[in-house]
Amino acid sequence: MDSTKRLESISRSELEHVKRRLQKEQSALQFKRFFHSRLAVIGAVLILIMTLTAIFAPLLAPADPLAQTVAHRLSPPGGDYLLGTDKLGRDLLSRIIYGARVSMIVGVSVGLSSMVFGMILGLYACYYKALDNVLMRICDGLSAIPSTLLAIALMAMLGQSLFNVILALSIVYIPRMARISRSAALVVKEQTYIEALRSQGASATRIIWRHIAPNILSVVVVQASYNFANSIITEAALSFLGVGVPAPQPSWGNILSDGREVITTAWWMIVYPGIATALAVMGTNIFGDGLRDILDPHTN
Amino acid sequence: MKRTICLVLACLMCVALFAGCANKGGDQTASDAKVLNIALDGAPNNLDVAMSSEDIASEVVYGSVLEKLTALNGENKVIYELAEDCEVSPDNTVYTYKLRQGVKFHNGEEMKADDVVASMNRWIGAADNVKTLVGDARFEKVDDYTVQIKMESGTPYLNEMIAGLGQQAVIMPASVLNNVVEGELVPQDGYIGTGPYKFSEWADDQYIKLEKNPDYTPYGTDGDYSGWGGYKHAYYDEVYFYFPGDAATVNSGVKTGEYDIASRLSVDNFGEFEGDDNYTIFGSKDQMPMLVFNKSQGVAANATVRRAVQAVINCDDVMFASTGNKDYYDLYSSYMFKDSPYWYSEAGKENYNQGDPERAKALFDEAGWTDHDVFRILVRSDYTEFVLMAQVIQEELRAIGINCEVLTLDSATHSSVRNEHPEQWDAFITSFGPKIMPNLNLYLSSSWAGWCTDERIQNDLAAIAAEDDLDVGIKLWNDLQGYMNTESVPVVTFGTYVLSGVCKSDIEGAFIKERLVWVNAHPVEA
Amino acid sequence: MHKYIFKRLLALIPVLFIVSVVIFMLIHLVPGDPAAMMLGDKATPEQIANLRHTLGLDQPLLTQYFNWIADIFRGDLGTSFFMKGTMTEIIGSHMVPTVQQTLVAVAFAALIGVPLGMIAAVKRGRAADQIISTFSIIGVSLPSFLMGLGLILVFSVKLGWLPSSGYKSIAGFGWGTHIRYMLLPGIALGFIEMGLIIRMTRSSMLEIMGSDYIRMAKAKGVSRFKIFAKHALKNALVGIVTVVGLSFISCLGGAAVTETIFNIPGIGKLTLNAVMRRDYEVVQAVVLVVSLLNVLCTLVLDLLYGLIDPRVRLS
Repeated sequence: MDSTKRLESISRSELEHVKRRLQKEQSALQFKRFFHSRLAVIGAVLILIMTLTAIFAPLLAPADPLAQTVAHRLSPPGGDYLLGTDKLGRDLLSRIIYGARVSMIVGVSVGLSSMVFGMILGLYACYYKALDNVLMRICDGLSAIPSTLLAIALMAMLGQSLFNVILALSIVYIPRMARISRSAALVVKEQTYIEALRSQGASATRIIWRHIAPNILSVVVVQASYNFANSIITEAALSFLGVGVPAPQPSWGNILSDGREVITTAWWMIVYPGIATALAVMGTNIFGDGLRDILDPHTN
Repeated sequence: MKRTICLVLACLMCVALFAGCANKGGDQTASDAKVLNIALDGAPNNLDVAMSSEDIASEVVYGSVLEKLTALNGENKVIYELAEDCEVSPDNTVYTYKLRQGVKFHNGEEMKADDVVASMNRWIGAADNVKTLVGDARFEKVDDYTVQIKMESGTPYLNEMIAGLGQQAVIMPASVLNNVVEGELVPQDGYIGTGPYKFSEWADDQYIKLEKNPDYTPYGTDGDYSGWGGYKHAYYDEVYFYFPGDAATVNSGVKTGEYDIASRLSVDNFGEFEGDDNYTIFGSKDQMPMLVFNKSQGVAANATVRRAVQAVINCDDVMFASTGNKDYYDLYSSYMFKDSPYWYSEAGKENYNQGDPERAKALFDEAGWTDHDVFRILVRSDYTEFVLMAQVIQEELRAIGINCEVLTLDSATHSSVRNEHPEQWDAFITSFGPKIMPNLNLYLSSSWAGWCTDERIQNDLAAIAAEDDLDVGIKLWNDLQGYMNTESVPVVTFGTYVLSGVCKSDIEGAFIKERLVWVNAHPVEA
Repeated sequence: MHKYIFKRLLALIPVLFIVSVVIFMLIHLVPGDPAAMMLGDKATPEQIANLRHTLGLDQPLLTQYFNWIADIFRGDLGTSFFMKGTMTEIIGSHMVPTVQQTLVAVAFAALIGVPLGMIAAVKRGRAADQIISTFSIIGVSLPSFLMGLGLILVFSVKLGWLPSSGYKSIAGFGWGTHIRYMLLPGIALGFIEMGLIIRMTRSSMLEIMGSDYIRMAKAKGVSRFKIFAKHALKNALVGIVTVVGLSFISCLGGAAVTETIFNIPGIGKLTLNAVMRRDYEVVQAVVLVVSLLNVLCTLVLDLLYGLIDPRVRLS
C-alpha cells in the first residue's frame, strides 16, 4: 500500500551509500583473487593477537602497569624497560599491553550493544509506521550532530569512566545502526513471502524475528564490525582529548595524550602506542572487509 | 551544460570563501613597530581581575593595564602606586589615602576619588576575605584626591591585602563600573586602567593585543622596578599574548622565533633551552602544591585519617614525579614561603615528609579504617602536575592496602564537584603562590573548598589579623602552624616547586613572581 | 525537483527540533557551570552563587529552553558568556579556519587519492595496484590524531620543516605562511579520506572499464588513452564527486581533533572549549548550525549528483 512512498523516504544519499557498498563489493570480488584473501587473513591474525593480548595481559606484561619508579621517569627504550617509561616511571610496554584490554572491551561492547539495540529499533521501526516516524526522527537528530562532538558532550555529562565511554559511544552508534537495519529490513519486508505470511495471519513478532531478522543479519554484522573499529578509534581520540578513560587506567589514547606533552623529548611515548592503535584499527578494518565478503550474499 | 554551471559555481564558492577570509583576520603590523609576543599557559576566561582570581588574567593585565593603590615590590614590601601617601590612625581603624594627581585613564579621564571609591568598594564586595576583615566599612570620598575607609576594629594589614591579594584591587574608571551590574563582569571595552599599556583587542582563541599607552606617567625613579611595582616603561608598541595550548608547541614556537617569551616552561623541556645562549630561562620556586582535605564530611573529616595520609606521603617522590629534577623544588614544612618577610616557620616540621607506611597504617587502624572505606582524591585534568601527584599518593596508599580513588575531572566539573558536592571527595590537590600574610591563605578559610572550620585555627587567624604587634603575631602563627602540622592537619603541603618561563636572551626584564611579570621587559641594549 | 527540495527542507524541521532538545539537555545536565569558570579556581561558593543568579542560570531548565527557542525565532542565536560579539560573528570567525583546513584536507585527499586510484585500476592486479591498495588500507587505518602526532614528530620535531601548530590568517600573514601552517593539519585530517578516495576511485573505474560500452569502444579500436580519458574518467566522475563531497562533510565534523592538536581556532576547538567552560549558548548554537550544515550538505550532494548524472531522477 504505502510501501513505495516509504521507500521514497529513504534519502538519495542512503541509496548512494548502498550503491557504493555494492560497487565496493564488486571490486572486492575481483580484488580478492589476487590479494584480498591474504589481507583478510592478516586482519584476522591481528585481531586474534589483540584479543589474546587483552585476555592474557597479566601474563604478558613484564611489570605492573600502575607501578611507578619515579626515579626512572621518561627512560628511553632498552635496558629494563623494553619500550621505555612514562612521566611517572611506569613501564610503557606493560601499559600498552593493558591498553589493549581497554580498547577490546570498548570495541566489543560498543559493537555488540549497537548491533543488538540498533537491530531491535530498526526492525520494529520498519514494521510499525508510527514508531518509525518517531524513532527515525530521533535517529536523524542524533546522527545530524557530528559524532565526535556528540561523544564529547555525552562524556562531559556522564563523567569519565570506562563504562561511560561505552555508554556514550553506544548512544552515538545505535542511531546509525538503526537506520541501516531499517533500510535493509524495509527491502526484505517488501518481498512477496512476507506479504504471504502476513495474509496468513502470522504474528508480528514471528515475522520480525523469524523471517526478517535473519535476512538483515549479514548487513548488521558487517556494520557492527565497522562500529567495532570506529569505537576503538573514538575511544582513543576521547582519551587523547582528556574526556575518555580516566588516568591512571592505561588506554592508548591516554598514553598518547601524556606523550603529546613530551613529544620533543620522549618520542617513544607517541610512536609505540601509535603503532599499536594503527595496527588494531587496520586489523579490524581488513577483517571487516573480509567478513563482508563472506557474509554478504551479493559477493558470494 | 548544467554540469559546467555547477562546477563553475563550486569554484566560485571556494574563491569567495578564501577572499572572504582574506578580508578578515588581524591587521598587518607596521614593520617598524616594536612588538613583543608572549605565549601564555592557557587562555584567560576574562580580564576582570577584580572579580576573577585567574592567574593568567593577572599575567596579562595586572600592572600593565590596570594598577592599584599599593603594590608589592621584590622584597614583598608595600609601596605606593596610585596612592601618593597613606595615613593610618594609631589604632589601625582609619586609612586615608592621598591620590596621585594628573594620572590619566586610557579613556582620557583623570583618575579621581570617585573612581577609586567605586573600584575599591567593588573589590571589597567581591573578595570574601577582605569583606570579613573590614566588615561593613567601605571607602568614601573625602575630596577629589583623597579617599578614606573607617573600620570598626583595627586592621593592620589592609595595605598588604590591597597590594598582594590574587583578586586584584585594581582601579578602573567609575564611568565604566557604574554601568556594570553588581556581581557581573566588566565587558571587554571596559578594560580601562592607568597602566603603561592599554587593552586593544581580543581575537577569541587567537590572541590578546595590548598597545603602548603614550600618556603614561611613571612613578618612582627610573631603573627602580622590582616585584609588582616601581618605575614602568612601555618599551613595546604592541604586545601580543598567544595561547598555544601544549608545552611542545610553546617550545617549538619559542625556537622558531614566534614567541619572545613563554610564561611557562614545562620542566621536562628545560633540556632544550638549558645551555643555549640564545635563550634565558627564568624562574622562581613560587608555587606550593598541597593536598587539601575535606574537613566537612566523609572519611577525612576525621583528623586521625588526615594524620595517617600525612604520614604516608613521601613529599620527595611527589615533587620529583611532577618535576623530574631535584633542582626544581625545595622541601620544607612551612606554610608560608621561605622568602616571606616574617612568617616563615618550621613548627611541626617532624610531621612533614614522613613517608612512613608503618606509622600511617597504625594511624589508619586507630581511625577504624575498613576495607570498604575509600579515600577519594579530586584533581583537575588540565593540571597534569597535580594528576601525577595524585597518582603517586594513590600508589603510596595502595602499597599499604588503603583503597584510594583518583577522580580526574575537567575544570568545570571539578569546581562544581568541589564546591557543591563535598560528599563525593575527601581531598583535592591545588597549589598556591606566596601570600604576604597567613590569613590570606585561602586553604585556611572556612568558606572555601575544604572548609577549615577548626575553631582554634579560625580564632588564631583572626587574632593575627588584628594584632598590631608583629612579634606577637609571629609567635601566634608559629604556634598555630605547629598545631596544624601535628594535630589538625587541614592540608598536607608538599614543598615549593619552580615556575619558570623562557625568553630570548636579547630580552631582559621578564621574571616570575607568583606568575609571569613582563611589564618592564625590554630589549638588551647592544 | 522543486517539490523534492521542498520536501527535504520540510523534513529538516523535526530533525533540528530533536537536535535542539538533545543538545540543550546534554549541556545543561553536564555538572559545573560558566559562573565558576568565569571567576577562577580560587572563587568562593558564595561568590559563584551570586554570579549564577545575575546570569539567570538558577532559572528552571524549561524556562531557559523556551527562552532560547524564542530567541532563535527572533533571529537571535544567543550570546557567549566569555566572548564578545554576536553569535553569528563568533561562529563566522571560527568557521573560516575550519573551512580552510577542510579545503586543504580535501584537496590533498583528492589530488593524491584520485590519481592513485586510477593508476591502481589501470594496473589492476599488478605490483603497483597492490602497493597502492595497501597504502589505502594504511590510510584508512590512521585516525587523524595519530596522523597529526606522527606528522608533528617527523616534520616539526625531527626535521624542523614545518611549524608544529598555530594558525595564521591570510590577511595578517599572507598566503605562504598561511599554507605552511595549514599543511600538517590538512594532511592529518585528509589522510583517512585519501584512503577512501583511492578505494572508491579504483572500484568505480574498474566497474566502468568492465562495462559493455567500453568493451565496445575497445573493439572499435579506440586508443587506450582516449577510452580512459574520454569515456571511463568522465563516467567515473559521479562516484568520485560523491566520495569527495562526503569527505568534505566528514572532515568538517572531524576537525575538532586536529584543531586541538594543531591549535587552530576553528569551529571544533570553539565547541570543545565551550563544552569545557560550559558556555551553554555557544555549544547550543554551534551544534545546531553544524548539524544544519551537515544535513544541508547531504541534500546539496544529492542534488549535485542528479545534475552530474542525468540518469538519476529526483522524485
